[in-house]
Amino acid sequence: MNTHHIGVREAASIGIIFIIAKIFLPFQRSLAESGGTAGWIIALIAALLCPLTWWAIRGVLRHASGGSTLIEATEEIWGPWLGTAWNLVYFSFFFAITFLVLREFSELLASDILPRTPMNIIMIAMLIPIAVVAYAGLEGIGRFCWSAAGLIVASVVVVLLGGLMTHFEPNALQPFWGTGRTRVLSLGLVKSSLFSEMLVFGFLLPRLRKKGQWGKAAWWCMGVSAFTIFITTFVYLFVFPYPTAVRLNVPMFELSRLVIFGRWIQRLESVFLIAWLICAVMKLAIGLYCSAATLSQVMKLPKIQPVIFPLALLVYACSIIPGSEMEAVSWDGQFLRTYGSLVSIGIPMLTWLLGMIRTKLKGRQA
Amino acid sequence: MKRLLRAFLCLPIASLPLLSGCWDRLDPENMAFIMAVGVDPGPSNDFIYTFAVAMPKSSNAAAGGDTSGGSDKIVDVFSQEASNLTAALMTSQSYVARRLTLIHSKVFVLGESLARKGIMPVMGEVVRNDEFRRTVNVITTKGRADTFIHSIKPRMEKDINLWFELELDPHNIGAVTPHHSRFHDFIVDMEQPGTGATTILSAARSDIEKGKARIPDGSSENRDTAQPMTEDEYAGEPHRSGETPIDFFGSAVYRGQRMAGFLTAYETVMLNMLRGEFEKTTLEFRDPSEKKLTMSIIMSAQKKPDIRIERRGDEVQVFFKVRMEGDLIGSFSELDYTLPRNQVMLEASVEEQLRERASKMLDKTMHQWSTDCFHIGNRVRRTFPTLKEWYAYKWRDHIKDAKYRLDIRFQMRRHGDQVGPAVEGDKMN
Repeated sequence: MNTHHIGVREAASIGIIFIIAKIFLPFQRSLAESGGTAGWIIALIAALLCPLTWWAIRGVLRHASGGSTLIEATEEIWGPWLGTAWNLVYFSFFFAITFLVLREFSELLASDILPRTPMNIIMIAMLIPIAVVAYAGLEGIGRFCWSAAGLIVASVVVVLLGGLMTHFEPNALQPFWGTGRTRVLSLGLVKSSLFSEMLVFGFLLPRLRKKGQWGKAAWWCMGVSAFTIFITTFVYLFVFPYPTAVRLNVPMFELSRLVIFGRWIQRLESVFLIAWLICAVMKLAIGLYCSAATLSQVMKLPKIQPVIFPLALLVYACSIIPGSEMEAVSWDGQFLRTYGSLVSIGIPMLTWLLGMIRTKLKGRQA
Repeated sequence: MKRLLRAFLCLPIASLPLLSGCWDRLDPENMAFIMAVGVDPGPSNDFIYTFAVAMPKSSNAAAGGDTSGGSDKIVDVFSQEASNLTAALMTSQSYVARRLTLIHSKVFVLGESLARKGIMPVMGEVVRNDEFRRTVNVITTKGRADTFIHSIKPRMEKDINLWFELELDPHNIGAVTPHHSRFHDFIVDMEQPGTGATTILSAARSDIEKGKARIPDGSSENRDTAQPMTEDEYAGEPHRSGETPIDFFGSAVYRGQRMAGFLTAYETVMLNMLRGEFEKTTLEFRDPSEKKLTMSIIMSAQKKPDIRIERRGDEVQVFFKVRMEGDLIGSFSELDYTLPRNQVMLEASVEEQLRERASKMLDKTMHQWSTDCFHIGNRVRRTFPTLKEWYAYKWRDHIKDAKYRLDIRFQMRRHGDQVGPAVEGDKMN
């Protein structure tokens, strides 16, 4: 039996949760702000572009020695100096996701669920389980994600159906091009960074038992996450038509608060909140694990675990840097979701290209 | 060492559930549940907020013990002048012992003068409140909102939550109020250019509360007078006495943030019919055989109406295709409407009356008030490629000139539990 390996289901679930957790943050609102009634087209274009990250990662790993992670492969292809520089970019990306999402989720809890609880207590209360789960390693995360993914996706589907049955504007997606065709199409390219978390496959693929399982895990992940990201935006625009769509703080939470079927079925948000908090914790744990894995591989450490707790402290420290909720959300939107695809598509593509050139040159020399 | 580390990690995890009780823990016994909030204009460019708080049961009564000697009030009412709702709640907290909360509020009541002045400042502030839910119903009351709140005195129902649930359910009260009058529907409509938001129309009945309401008796009966149709009245007008001194009857229509006017119960039913939100209800019609008499039909929609629009340049034309059906349930006529010839006559008459009423209501809202209560604008929007062009079109300016066509069909399905009218024995041939 192969130990320290994960299966297709676990790998796909990690990818799904890492990507889709943002649906509980104000991402649908930002798409409505960018595209108006055509916000769904932006989500669709981003979803169509997400295989680019997968192909690039696969390409990079194929041109490195067997069993290498994305970090090790990048260093092998670019050499120690440039490779380390790119890897530090990867690290910054994972780390930024972790501390920004921690701040955003804590703000969500503070503004709607626990208004009187101090922010730092909420953040610490989330950070401890995150660090523990990340410490448990990729196998633990994978198994936990696999058992939670169904619950999370089911809760999203129920909320979307409930929202649609409570309020539905059939012409909400008109005018078709929303804020304008050029703007919508170009933002679709930029927002391909919605799937930047696909980079996690750089750590997951080497842990799969067979290379043949790579594609299966990646396509399952891309299919489910693309569908979830697209459908939540699509339904959100029907239930909260533009311009209402650009004025809600946390779209999915508001959607869950709207669900009402007579006297007995209403106020369901607290039920869904459990699933969503699990999702948030898992996403943050994956982010922390990836940050720790990148850093330990850059520093050539034999183990990841010693880096987890110091990094968790750093995550806490950085998450309190944004002065307000709006600032945290704008950092996420303006940096991570604007330039994210440069990290998730640009760098792996360049590395893949260089890897191909290197392999060809080696072939000629041989 | 590993075991020690695990034990160390278990400690904070085990303590996490305890943390939830530290700051946000609030026992229901310490909370005051606001069921209704009323808003009127204040004296200094501010507002007067009136709250109806559910009366808490005494611990003895809650445990099933003796309730005698207690007050029969089911809500506690107080008003507070403030510039906004949050400030009003905060100030009220100084003299209300329990913590005031909006989490279970059922209605948001807008006073008539505030509604005519403009409600966006109030709505814009309230929608931000994290305790306030978008599922709360919005009511526009004739007169002042505080009078409405003070009149919340249900006679039969002692559970204030249930009373609101039942009174605000259009299906339960004969579909004489807009099908959707929740805060979410209201504010979404208000945020769309040209769309006319609607709310339930209500009125406090001080005459009923004081026991002064009198229904004229039949001593001065005039046989030639046409029977009135109750649904043609606004809230506050139905001739009645007894029970709760509040009417929920008809709707209030807004033009942007200002109320444009009221719709009667019948007009509201027509509104629901054209919007595709018709709830099965009983409607009165003029009897085709004797115009001064009325007849009652249980109406329902055969299917959702087909609303089609055509835009040529700035000109918009709307086509409403409505298919209704019904059961004849009450008739004074001596004519047997179950006979095919009479049935055709009845159907044609009902169609004509529906068309006439729908047409009047469309003229009133679209041509007189320039407001689109039928979401026609959402369909017109389809004819523009981008939002910029849609907003530049200024739908509000074109509502008045929009033309409409009504294609209404009615089919009688059943005739109640009797075939033909009851006939006095002496008149039998």
